[in-house]
Amino acid sequence: MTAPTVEQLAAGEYQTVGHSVARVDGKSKVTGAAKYSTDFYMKGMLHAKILFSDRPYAGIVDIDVSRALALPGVKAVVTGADAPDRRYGG
Amino acid sequence: MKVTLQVNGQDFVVDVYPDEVLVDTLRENIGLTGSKKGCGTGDCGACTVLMNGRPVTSCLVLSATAEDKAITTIEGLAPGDDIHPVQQSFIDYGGVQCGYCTPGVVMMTVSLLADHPHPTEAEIRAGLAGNLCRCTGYSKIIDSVKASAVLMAEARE
Repeated sequence: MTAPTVEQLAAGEYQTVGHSVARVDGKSKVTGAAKYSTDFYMKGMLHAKILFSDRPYAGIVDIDVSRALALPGVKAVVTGADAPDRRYGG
Repeated sequence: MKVTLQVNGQDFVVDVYPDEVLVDTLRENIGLTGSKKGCGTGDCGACTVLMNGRPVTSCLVLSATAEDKAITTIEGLAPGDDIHPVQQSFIDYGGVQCGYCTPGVVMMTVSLLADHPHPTEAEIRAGLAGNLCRCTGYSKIIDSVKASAVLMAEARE
């Protein structure tokens, strides 16, 4: 017994197999209505900024966050000291 | 500084920073989040809007310089619940995957078809060279543009 062709499947009882199906989210994506994580602006939302090292292959000896924390509006400064002391995959 | 922006046929008086770029004003001030900020450096094309009918990467346009110019975003392409032929073609021909590049690609396609109502594939590829798709569904995007040209030609008849 040979497998049915796509045409045979489409002619049969199936509503999806053998048919072109429009994406359910197609219209919302082409109209710009679809919401991505960056599209949410919430009341009181905090914003984060990552400070990258300006030295290649440097060891971190110490990070002094006191001046950053003292800036108006700053809620937190998160460093490696806030993370568990273990390697990836814990 | 206060500027008046004409977006999708409507005037908006907005308070912007002198160094604020149009994509941020559209998204954060006016609330039109359809224009996406992919790179912020004019490389990806996700923030493409039309300014006086010409495509611009709105991350490279200072909002203050957009005053008195007619801006069209993805939300303003078709009135109300209507859908533009280009948008319809992208749905029908699978030109949409994750959809993040789609608003920019659609706006660029509208501009491309205004310049070339019957574009060759080379013209489509050149026209969309500044719109990056990280899903890399470029073949279907090109199919969608070709279908858009046919649909728009039919609409003109």
